[in-house]
Amino acid sequence: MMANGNSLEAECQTFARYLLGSVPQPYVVGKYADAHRVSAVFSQGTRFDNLLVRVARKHPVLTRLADSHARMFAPTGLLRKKLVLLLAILETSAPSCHLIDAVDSGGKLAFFTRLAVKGTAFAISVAAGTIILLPVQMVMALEQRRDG
Amino acid sequence: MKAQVAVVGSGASGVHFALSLLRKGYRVTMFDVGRRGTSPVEPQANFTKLKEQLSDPSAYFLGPNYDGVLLPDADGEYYGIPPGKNYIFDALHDFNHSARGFSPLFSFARGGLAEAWTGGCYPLNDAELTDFPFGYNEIGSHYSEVARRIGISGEADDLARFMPVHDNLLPGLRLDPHSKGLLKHYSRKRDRLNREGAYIGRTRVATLSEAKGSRSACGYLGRCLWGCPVNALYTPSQTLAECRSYPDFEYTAGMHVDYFKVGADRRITSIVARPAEGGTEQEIKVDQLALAAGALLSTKIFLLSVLRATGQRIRLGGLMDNRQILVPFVNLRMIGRPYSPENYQYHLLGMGIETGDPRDYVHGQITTLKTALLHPIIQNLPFDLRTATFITRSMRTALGVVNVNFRDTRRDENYVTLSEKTNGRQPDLEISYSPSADEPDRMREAMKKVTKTLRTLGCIIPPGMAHVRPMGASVHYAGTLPMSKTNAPFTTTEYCQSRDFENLFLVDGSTYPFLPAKNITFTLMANAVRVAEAAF
Repeated sequence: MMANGNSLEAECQTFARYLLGSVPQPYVVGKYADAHRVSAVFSQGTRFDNLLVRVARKHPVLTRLADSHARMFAPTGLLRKKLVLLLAILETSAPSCHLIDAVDSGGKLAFFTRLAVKGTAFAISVAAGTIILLPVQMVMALEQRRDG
Repeated sequence: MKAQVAVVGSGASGVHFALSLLRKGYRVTMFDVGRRGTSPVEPQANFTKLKEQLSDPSAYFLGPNYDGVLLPDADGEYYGIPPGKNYIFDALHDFNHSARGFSPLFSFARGGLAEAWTGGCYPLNDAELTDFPFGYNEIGSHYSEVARRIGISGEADDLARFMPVHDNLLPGLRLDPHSKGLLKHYSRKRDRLNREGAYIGRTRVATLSEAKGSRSACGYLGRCLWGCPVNALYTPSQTLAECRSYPDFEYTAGMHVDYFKVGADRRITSIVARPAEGGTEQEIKVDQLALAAGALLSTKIFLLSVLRATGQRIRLGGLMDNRQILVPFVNLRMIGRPYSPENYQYHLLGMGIETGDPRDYVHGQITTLKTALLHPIIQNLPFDLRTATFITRSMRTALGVVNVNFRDTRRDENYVTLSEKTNGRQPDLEISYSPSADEPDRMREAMKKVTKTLRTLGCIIPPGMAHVRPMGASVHYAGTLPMSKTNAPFTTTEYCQSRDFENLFLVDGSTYPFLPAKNITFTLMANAVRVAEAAF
């Protein structure tokens, strides 16, 4: 799935807001687009992969839904590759690296409380994704198999 | 003036062999492909500062083509080779191989594979040397000499029961808070763990805790994996530079040695080499030849030479490598602790697992997570990436990995040979490996002890995250032309002199008759010094 510069920029903005809750620096956006230019890995996917990316780039909430589903049912698919690429760029450049290096305050109790909340949100997201996306994924996989 | 010795390869064995010969007055010519990396950037900056100070930090960490991004299908590894070190593993354009059950890595770099090592230096003990034609008494002084040359930091502690203590050991490196905590907790549980055959101590590493000559002490910049910017972490290219200060040393880079030619009296008369990037082959006369290109590449030179000389396509059995299992763990006590990039990045602690037979000793290197790229870890957690990033951020200082190593033995079914077909100008190298029948049992038993030890230290192992690395991944290749007291074809004497070609010495891992569960590089260096001292 080839995307032009503007749509990649928008995609990067949405994905960065999803991953770190912040708007990416122009450097990050430029590197994200550059990676798509130099490597075909970030443009090739199945029909379902492409659909998942289209859904994910609409809004960070939908990115989460699509990513939760992808973690369970398409862990090596195009969306995960794009998100991992962006994560790698974010963690190797300042100031976004500081958001990844920072430790949340509050100690162990706060951590486990947050973990419980986030884990529940993930479970809900997976459940929603399963209801909405899994049937589509199965239909598309069957169609792809039928078409050879 | 003494005789001339030709050495093939500039890895850990070759450079120490050459240096010992030069000190004895020999003339040494080293033939090497000798690919080189780039100089370190911003030598005073720590891992985080690099990200702030470099104009294009992502290109440095991930490479201009983003090869350093470990994508979700990257075979479960938790870190990759940084792009700046890709030159170490870059293939030659016409060097081909095929492998079954084995994933070999080759290096044509100046300094060889140890340019990318993590510095573990573990002498073998008498039990592990049982199959070798010498004991610790005969190699102990050479371990000490290598330690004097390269600088090894460590302590004589509980792991000394598995690793003899040689001379010239520097004080241990500064521990990071996580490693310090694990060691403190171990000291409280020592008796119980020891009764169960588990021991924890400091690893011995070829990294300077004190300045030595022109090399600085470790600056704790957290950049070991990307290449130590102050040369505190030893690499063979440092000894190569020392060799080059001798007038009787000639370094011929850019040449790939294909095979040697043999005269009527079983003596090698010359080597045939060609420019690594293509060109006409050259024949170069040699008096004595030492192969130190690494077990697989030296074996290929040997196989091709036999094929050229006799028409025989022989098969050399006994290939060995250490099986490794990566066991990630979470130290519950460390959750939520702040992260500092100013730490030594590689392993500082080791785990010794005793078994019924001392030759079956299992060795673990414990690396607590300090500086590292986190995306390979984050993507492996069973959550969406946002949640996984939160978890990793909070648990970063609590994470660690034990790299568990297993011994290997020589077996005929694991072999190296040349292909029938020639692809281009040469036959391909063919490698075949299958694990021993008892490997699953040994791994299971060891893993029980590793798991129990980590639990006793207050750590948990996330289910399903232990990763059995493929054979070949440890890059501890050995055993194809073993030292033996028995005079037999395709073996060497106790001084690594070939029994097939009188003036040929094999001074790399190819002569190991047994592969203990320890990084072999230190013994490679000590053995090369031993051979140079005793046989020349």
